[in-house]
Amino acid sequence: MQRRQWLVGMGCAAWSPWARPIAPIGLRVVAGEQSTAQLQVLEALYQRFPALRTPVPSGPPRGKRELVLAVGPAGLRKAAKEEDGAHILSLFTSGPSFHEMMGTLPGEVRSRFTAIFAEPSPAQQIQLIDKLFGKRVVVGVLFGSTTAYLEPLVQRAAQTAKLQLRIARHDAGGAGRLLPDLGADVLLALPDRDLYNAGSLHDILETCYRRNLPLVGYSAGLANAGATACAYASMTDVLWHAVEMVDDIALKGTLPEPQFPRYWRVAVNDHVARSLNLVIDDAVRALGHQPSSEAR
Amino acid sequence: MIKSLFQPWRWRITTQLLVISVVPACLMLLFTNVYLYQAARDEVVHDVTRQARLIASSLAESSSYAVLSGNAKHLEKSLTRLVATQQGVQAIRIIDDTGTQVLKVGREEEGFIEAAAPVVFDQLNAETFHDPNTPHVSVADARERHPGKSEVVGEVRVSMSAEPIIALKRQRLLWATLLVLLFALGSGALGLAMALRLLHRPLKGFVNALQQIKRGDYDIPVDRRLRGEWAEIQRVICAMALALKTSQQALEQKVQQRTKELNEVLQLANEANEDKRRLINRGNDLIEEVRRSIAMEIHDSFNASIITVRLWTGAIIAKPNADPETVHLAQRIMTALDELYQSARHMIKQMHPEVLETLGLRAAIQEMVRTLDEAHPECEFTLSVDDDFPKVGGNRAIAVYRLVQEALSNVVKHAHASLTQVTLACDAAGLIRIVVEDNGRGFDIHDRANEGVGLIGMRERVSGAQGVLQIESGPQGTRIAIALMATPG
Repeated sequence: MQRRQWLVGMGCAAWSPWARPIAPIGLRVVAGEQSTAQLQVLEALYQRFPALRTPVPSGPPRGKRELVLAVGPAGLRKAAKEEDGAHILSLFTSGPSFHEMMGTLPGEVRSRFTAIFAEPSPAQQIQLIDKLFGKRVVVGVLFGSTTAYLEPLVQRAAQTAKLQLRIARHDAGGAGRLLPDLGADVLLALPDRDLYNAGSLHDILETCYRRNLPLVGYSAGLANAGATACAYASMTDVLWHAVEMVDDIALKGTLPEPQFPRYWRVAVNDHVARSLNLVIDDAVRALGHQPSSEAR
Repeated sequence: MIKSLFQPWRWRITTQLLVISVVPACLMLLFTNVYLYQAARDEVVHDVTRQARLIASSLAESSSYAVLSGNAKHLEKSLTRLVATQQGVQAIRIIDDTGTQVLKVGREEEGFIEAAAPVVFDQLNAETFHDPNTPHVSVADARERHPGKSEVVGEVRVSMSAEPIIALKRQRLLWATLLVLLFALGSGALGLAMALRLLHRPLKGFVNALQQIKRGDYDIPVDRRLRGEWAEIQRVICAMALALKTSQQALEQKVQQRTKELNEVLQLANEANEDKRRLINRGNDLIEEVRRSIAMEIHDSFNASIITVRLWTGAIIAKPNADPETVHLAQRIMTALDELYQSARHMIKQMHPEVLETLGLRAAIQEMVRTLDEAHPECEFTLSVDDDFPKVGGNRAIAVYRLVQEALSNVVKHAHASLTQVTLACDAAGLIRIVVEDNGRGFDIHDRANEGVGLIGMRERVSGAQGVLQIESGPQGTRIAIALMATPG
């Protein structure tokens, strides 16, 4: 294991052009074991936070608050275990994984954690569905134990978009690889470990295809694998959001609530859409939210 | 007909041509078809096996959903259609990883070619944000982050039978064979007709020519329509016939010449033989004449003198005052004279059997046999004479007498026999048969070098009388048979 730990005096550090001067804050990054994906994320992180490249031999300067950027589930676990007293911002960890981790921590410890989830919000997915069909359709959603907390958000988003929901629930391991027939026009996929995993994804996608049921997912990979369309937040999108959140923390001095990515975009699998007789217009492809050019 | 087919030397040229042209082609066709059928069968089995694997693999690719869901309704229709339309596919069975049958279409039987392909479930390597160790980053291609795993969840078994395809191939091969056979028969018949036209006429001509030569007719007609090798063969046959004709004519001339020469030699020999016979007869006659003269001389002069001397000697003995010594001497002289007289009489009898003239041949021979029987008690001499044996006179009676005399003399001298039988017979044609048999030790009749003068004299005498002499001899005895005419021819 290689541990990267730097103390960054953001006020005295050389800022990148998009960085703005804020109150002094101690910023460190904690990641799991090195892997290709990990290195890619860290490299992108260093581009957004160049001061992280400068190693600080000892602890934070006096009077500075310390914010730890926990990269991925492994980084989050490590930070929860080792970073005693520091504020922790979880990056690149899905909402269910974050909540599962928080469920293992005492309340006073949980208050030191915030997050930008890896997946888009249900509202963003509902928005994509609304745009994709351009009419009122029945949206089917499966909730498991790890995604049950999302049900109110999904309800609210559907209500806002005036879409009908068909909800089904399943116990962990109960659904297997197959999908119950919800009688919906589109299936909304949430990052449920018990339902949408590597073992079941193939059959769920095939089942959806056989049932002529478009599936709207939450990552570009799902669209590539066979989902009709996905709302997703790229690594860049998450990092933009992270920069803004760090600024916010520095300004306000308080930790915000865990959030879905503010910036997101749409990925469409044109082959699947064509097979399902769905016409994807440019408005759908242009859907999403990106930081303003001024902010960049 | 059938039997003659198994006797090639009886085949006619036409049959042989037919066999030569048809049998190799039929054999080649047979072997070719057997090979083609076997090769086609192997190929079909190979293709069907490969096809079964391909179908099983293809179905396995699309069967994961059916295996995992247990719902194969969507496959049943297409698989049923596949079994119905795809030639050779007999049954398709899909089973899951527990061995439970998910779907079965068709009917499986023993002996079908079976291929199985695993139904593999490939995990998708899409980012689902569940990996506890990797950052949850939304990327389009997550294969490097999450390499997919494969899992065997079932098996597709395809049963295929090669028989329908083999039957089809067999049928096609059969048709092809029939067509080839028909074509071969047609072309064979055409070829045979041409061969008959081209070969049969000249061959038949050659056969006729050879048969003509065999009959000895060497004038072979020349067919001037023949060309090439046929003409050459005809030329050779004609040359051979001419050579045979010339050779035969020369041989005939030589035979005629030889026959003429032989006849001349034979005539000379016959003439010489006749001369010889006449000479022998003349010699025998002269001998007999000399013998008779000597016998007469001895009888008339010698014996008369002996009788005169005996009378004188008797007078001396009868004289009253004769000296006893003189008387005794005279008696000895008388005894010697008696012996001399008897000896002279015996000589006379030997030289000229007087009894022949007085009593005839039969009595003379009876006398001779009786005398020998008395003179040689160790051997019994018997005579058998036909009752109607004719009177034979003259030289022929002397010849018969001498022949029997010589034969019995040889018996006495050489045979050491205990029994000797003499037989005289004469048939109606006047042929006298003389047989002298003994049970003596015999002799080698082929050893002419050691043949005695007596036998030679017998041969000469029989030859002179134009008779036949046969001698048989062995360890059991000797038999001499003589045949000659009663009167000289």
